[in-house]
Amino acid sequence: MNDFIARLEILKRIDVWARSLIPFGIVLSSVLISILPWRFPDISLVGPSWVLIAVYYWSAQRPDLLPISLIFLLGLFQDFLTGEPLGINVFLLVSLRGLLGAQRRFVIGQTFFVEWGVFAAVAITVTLLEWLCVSIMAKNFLLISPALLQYIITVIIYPAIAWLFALCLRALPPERVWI
Amino acid sequence: MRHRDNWLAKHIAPLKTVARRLTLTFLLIAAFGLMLVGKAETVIVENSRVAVSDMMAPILDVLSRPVTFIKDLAEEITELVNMRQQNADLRRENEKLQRWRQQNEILEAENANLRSLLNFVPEAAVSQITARVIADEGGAFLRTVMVNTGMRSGLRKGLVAVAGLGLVGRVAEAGDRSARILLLTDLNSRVPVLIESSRHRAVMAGDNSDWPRLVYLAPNAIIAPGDRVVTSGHGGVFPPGIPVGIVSVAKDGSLRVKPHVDFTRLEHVRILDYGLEGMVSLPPTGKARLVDR
Repeated sequence: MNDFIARLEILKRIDVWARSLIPFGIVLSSVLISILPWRFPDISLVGPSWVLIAVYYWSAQRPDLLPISLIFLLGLFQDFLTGEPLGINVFLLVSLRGLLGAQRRFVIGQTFFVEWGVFAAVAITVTLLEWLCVSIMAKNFLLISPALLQYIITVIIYPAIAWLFALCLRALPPERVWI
Repeated sequence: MRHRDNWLAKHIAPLKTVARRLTLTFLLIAAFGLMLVGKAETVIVENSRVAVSDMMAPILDVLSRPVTFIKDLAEEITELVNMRQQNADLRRENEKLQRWRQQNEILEAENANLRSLLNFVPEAAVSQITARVIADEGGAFLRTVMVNTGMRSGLRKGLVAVAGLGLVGRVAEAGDRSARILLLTDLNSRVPVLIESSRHRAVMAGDNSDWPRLVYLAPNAIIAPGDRVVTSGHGGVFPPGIPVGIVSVAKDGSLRVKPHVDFTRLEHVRILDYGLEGMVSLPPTGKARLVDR
């Protein structure tokens, strides 16, 4: 009997552990999804920034399951995979987390519009930061319009993605509060 | 117990905030460090990039198939809708092409005749590899695509990629089973070109927009919108005579090239190997590695 309970306990732990990997899995998938050949003819050359949405959402909702060090590694993975200059996505995603860190308590438990508004504000900062970094690296002011277009698409699509993420949020193990 | 909780809250919470800030600062500094390392263009960075691409290539290969399928389906539906109009257009075009064909045959015979008179040395045979596009960076500042084959099928850095009627770009990085192609619209792309009719030379410089700019054009060059642009072969990276696009004037009045290739419909590319070894040091991909202007 004791053995059975012990085994059940282990299964339960594996279950909790697997479910707590959901945010990481989603961000990792978003990196892959964003580089699939999506460009639909005659529609748009840029797609939304899936990674930005995913990192923002899970940093706001469950920072315990998406620690900043993990964000760092995901950014590095994205840099290597996309062939972008090394460190750029690392810098942007870590900054996103840093920017959100101060605002997080305004987001949690507020209406959706506040969450969306904060996302729009954080995302424009990150977009401008990206444009600035890339321009500095290229020693030339680059065309900002594709980045702004990407920003607008990202903000418009945010509610739909956030709704999907909210479904996953329910499946997560409860947040452990230390203090 | 309650007293202890209060004590913890009072003393540990501020410490945690400090720790969090320190971590953030440390990681931001590390990110800057990475940028510097990346800027230095070390072999390790390029090798790591190739290794990650190679590792992910099979996964992307599988994931990109449904995406391509959806795109094809959408295209087919539009085509069905426009079929009547398209048919009429094609008939008209066919008539025109028939006339061209006749003329072409005459010219070809004449050309062969003249070549034999001149003892012209024919160019080396071109070998080609067809590859499927499995990833598309699609970001705001980078124009590259990844294809599903690499050095194992003979691809190497510097080869030329074409699709349909025109130039796509060149291979910027080749792994074992994946390769990255720098599109001619990318910021780092520079292609020496010729205006076909007037034979004036220029450089076609990508700037991440859909239409690359024409730069270093002689001031007295005779050029008009609609002129065909082909590669000139100068510099030895791109072989001469590959069609690139047509001259167009942008809204801001600058001369640009409208590529023949529709980059949104890029599913397969042909990688051509002309056996050219002209490129000594190719700048690798990436938006940062730019070019002095």
